[in-house]
Amino acid sequence: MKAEKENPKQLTEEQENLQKIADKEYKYGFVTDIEMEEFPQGLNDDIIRMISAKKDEPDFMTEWRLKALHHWRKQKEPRWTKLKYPDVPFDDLYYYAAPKKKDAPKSLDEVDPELLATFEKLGVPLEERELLAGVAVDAVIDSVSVATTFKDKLSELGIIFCPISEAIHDHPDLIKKYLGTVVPYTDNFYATLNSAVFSDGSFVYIPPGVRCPMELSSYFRINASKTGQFERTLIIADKGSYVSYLEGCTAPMRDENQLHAAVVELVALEGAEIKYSTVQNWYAGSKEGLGGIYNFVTKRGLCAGKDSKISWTQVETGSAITWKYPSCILKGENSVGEFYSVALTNNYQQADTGTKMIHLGKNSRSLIVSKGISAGKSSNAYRGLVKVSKNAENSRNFSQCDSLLIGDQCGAHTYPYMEIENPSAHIEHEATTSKVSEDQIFYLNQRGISSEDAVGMIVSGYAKEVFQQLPMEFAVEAQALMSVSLEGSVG
Amino acid sequence: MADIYPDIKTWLQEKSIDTHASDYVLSPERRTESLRAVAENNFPTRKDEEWRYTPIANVVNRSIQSGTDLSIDADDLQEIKQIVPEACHVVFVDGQYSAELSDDLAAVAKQGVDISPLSEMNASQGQLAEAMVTNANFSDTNIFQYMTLGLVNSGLFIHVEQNTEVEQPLHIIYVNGPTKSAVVQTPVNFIRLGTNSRFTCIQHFVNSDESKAITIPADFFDLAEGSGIQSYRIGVESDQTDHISNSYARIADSARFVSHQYLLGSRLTRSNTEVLFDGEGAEAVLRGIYLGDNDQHLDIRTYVDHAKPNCMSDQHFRGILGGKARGVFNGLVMVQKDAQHTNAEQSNKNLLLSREARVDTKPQLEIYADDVKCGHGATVGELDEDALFYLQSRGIGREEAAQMLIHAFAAEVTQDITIGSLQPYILEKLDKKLSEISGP
Amino acid sequence: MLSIKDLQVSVEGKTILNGLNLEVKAGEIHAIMGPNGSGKSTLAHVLSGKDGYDVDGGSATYKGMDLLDLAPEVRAREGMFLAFQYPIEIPGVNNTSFLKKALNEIRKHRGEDELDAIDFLALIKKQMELVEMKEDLLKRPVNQGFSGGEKKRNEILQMAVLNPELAILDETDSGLDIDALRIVAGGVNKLRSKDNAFVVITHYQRLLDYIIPDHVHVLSEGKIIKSGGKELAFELEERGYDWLLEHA
Repeated sequence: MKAEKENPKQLTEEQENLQKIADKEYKYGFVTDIEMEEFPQGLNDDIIRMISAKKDEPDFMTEWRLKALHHWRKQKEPRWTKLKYPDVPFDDLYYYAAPKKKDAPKSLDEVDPELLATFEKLGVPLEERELLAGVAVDAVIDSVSVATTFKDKLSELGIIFCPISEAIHDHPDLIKKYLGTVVPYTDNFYATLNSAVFSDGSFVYIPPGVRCPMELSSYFRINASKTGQFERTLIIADKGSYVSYLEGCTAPMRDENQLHAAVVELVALEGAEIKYSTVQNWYAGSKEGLGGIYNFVTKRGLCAGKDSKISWTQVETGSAITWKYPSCILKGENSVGEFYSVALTNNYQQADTGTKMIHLGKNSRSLIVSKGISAGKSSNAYRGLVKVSKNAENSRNFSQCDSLLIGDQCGAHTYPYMEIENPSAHIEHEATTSKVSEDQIFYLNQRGISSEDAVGMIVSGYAKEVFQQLPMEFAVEAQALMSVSLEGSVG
Repeated sequence: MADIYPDIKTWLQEKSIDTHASDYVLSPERRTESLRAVAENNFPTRKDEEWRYTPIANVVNRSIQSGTDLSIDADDLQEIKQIVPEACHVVFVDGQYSAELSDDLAAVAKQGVDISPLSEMNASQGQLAEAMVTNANFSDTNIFQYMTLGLVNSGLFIHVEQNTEVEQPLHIIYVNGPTKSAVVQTPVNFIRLGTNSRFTCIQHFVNSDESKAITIPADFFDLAEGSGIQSYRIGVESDQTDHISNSYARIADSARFVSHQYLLGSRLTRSNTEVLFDGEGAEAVLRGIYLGDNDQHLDIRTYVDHAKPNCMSDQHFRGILGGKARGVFNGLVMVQKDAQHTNAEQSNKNLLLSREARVDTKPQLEIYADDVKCGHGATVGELDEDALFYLQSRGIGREEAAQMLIHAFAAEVTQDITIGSLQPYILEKLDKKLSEISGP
Repeated sequence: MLSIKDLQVSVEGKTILNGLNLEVKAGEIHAIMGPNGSGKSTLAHVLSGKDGYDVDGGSATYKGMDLLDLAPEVRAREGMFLAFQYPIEIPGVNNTSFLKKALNEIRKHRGEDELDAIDFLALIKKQMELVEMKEDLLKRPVNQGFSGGEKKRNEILQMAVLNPELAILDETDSGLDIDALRIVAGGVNKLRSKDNAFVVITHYQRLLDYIIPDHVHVLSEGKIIKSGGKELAFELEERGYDWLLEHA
């Protein structure tokens, strides 16, 4: 993926400093040398059956996957967003790649030490001492769940937190009842593809009235080359329960583009609350715009019951292309949907992200806070929909979508859609655009702060409202990630 | 005698370069090319992003008649003229210029304006018009533009000479008589302002309850350095009229384009306004109200292209919708890469007055320059409860308090009207319609 | 004129007024004081008929009518006036025509002739001197772009024009500098007569330096816990609310 060559522009010194900050190298760009098991390239019924058989899935799953594949064959790849990228060679991709292993590991000691080293480099708290920090981790490498920690402690409360492949085995009733109910296999091109080929992901079930005592977390990493990562996450919060789920993503540096087409489904029943936080720093490609992840993700939550709440928080700094709209269907009366987002793009990155708030229930409320930061030659778009259907009496939405531009080679766009069919709705959308001004940087310079730190401070201040939504450890990590992603952007 | 066609596509099939127009209006190549595009293109559907909220199947499928008797009630016309008594009035009946009903254009010419109906255009005027079309940038090319450019069978060419301040407003009135099937009218106006000139122009679309029409007008504005125009579009047509308009304004250094739109009538209106900043220090002010009731569908599209630095644009549109009416605002501010110090504001507020009314709004920003001030806002809602209570607590009944607030919501936009006699007319029209609007 | 008996009011299930009693006669000025959250503004809102308050018990009678049964505009027409703590901005509605409309609605209700534009302007000009208000504020939309002090003066101007029998001033002194305070209080003093009554709600004693009350009531947790003459206000100023709350 390479954008057109721009005429070299005379940059001021300040701008060069900014650019430097944005240009720091990707620090997660190492490749783990572990033996991979891959299926042949391409996609057909046989591959699907192989994936399904490999996982020893019940027949209903195999059938569901095949239905999805057949539907996908009839679909056209969407091209309606602002994004520019060459065709994805779907037939050259590997749809299944797993670290080779003899048997499933029973404990951390049995996990491939190379893998553990990888997670250590990533800073995933997989070790026992870090478990004490209270984060339960389901680590997904390429598409297979490697280890799920803290499982026993959670199961005492009746909480199920395991790889979705395991859930398909052990809890087929829950899977049958909920899988595909929020994002049906016919939903969109990438979600359909995911339904056909997903190999793993996380599954969470919180029983009625239970407040999950710790943050649940998954860590995704794309390791093998030319693989598409199709993980699938399903979280069900039963009546009156609460869960906070964190998702982190990294990928090694590769020249070619890798596809990531995940599906996340959330279901909140009456009085339940789900908080879903993402820190995404997939490899964004080189400074010249080579390589990087295509992140085409479908995330959607259903506030099924009365007084339910789903809150999405995302910090998006990675991927060559991001295309995702974590959404809420506010079906329950008094249900609440929230979307907090920071999307930072640099170099040749393109992001088209936002949310959909579909108000169906009476007195449903939604809040959208989106902070876009564009640097380098990147393009960053907010695209969102607020829909109030006929029967959603007294719905409220407030949206604030701000853009911050660093340098004059990038783009920042806002495309809000509001479709209002009920007169008692109150809908408000506001957007502003600002830049990191040279005066601000100078002011901070004059107080002894370097330009890099100054930009970091200004950007952090700008994105504070969203960071505050993240659990503490994640907020710190997200802030650090922002500075790294901004390296060299002082431009 | 009138020929009847089952739909507009069939009607179009017979069209070749129209004989009503002078040979000099636009180049023959452009006209032929445009007519070919009409034949080759389909009408937009809701799959086209720019027409997402505006289905036009009911427009496309209407039966059409060609040839009318151009009959019009002279008293009615006189009344319309009296709305702006000081203006020079130009009248189009069923899309055709009527010298008989219009004031003498020579009086306008004396004030330093080169003015001519399209049928009487000369070669140099034709070249200027052609250049205006070439210089316009079309952000949403569609079959309606091609129709107006291919048919160019009526309209005005206006060129205000440099350093000329024309005090007399030009009042262009489009009327239709009663007909059995819909009449298609496609007037095109070419309005050029010379350096430092000033001009005011009102386009008034009005017809009787028995009128059936599809009105597809296009305006091309070209504002030279330091010039300024106040352009008004008033739509008060019958509910058997569909109206799909396109306006293109190119604005040079320090010029000022002010557009006012009051859309109250028609069954379906789609009004597209595109502004191109082709110079620095220029300003564009876009104001509009769409007030719909019953089954009306009113769609406002704007596209403001900040292609040059240091320009200011300010858009403010308000919608009031009762009955089963639908309102659409689809606006985009584009700030090109080198357009530093752009100052762009875009605001859209809507009131829904009934359970069946609906609004879709899409205020958009596309920004490629960093040192800019851009903001937009949109709201949809009922009347402010606190304001209602405040008025009630002063002794004003709730019903009346609501009327006051609705009136104020609309009237705020009319404050920018620069023609003295026009504001009361608009307010009266707004109030009359508001008093009849079907509530919840 | 106004008789409140055992009034109990809640908002979204939370009790705010809990058995409030108050008798106001013509010619009197009552001050209601109390710490934040004691229910002062709720009382003003309930008396003027704002939505969102549930009356769970008790009664309020105004000139012999069941006050709580009347629509807000009827209360206004019957001579009741609320000076808002936070006057509402109403874009697009002209200040003068709004006030003319309000006055004529009230006159109509009383069976009086409506004032024409000339008589109305004469009246409003006279009353504007009372509150030392600049004339250009009349041309602007209601309260829009007004400073805090200008809004409060606009409230008093409306009061002067509408000439109510019972005026409730809800924290009219909050956010006013000393000059504005004097002007506002001066307006009230000129309007007071043996036929009308005022209920002045305030947190601080300082307004009462200018508007001398006949009765002072202390409101706490939705009840009047102490009543007295104007000297009670001075005592509160000196010793704070805590002194009273401890005794309560």
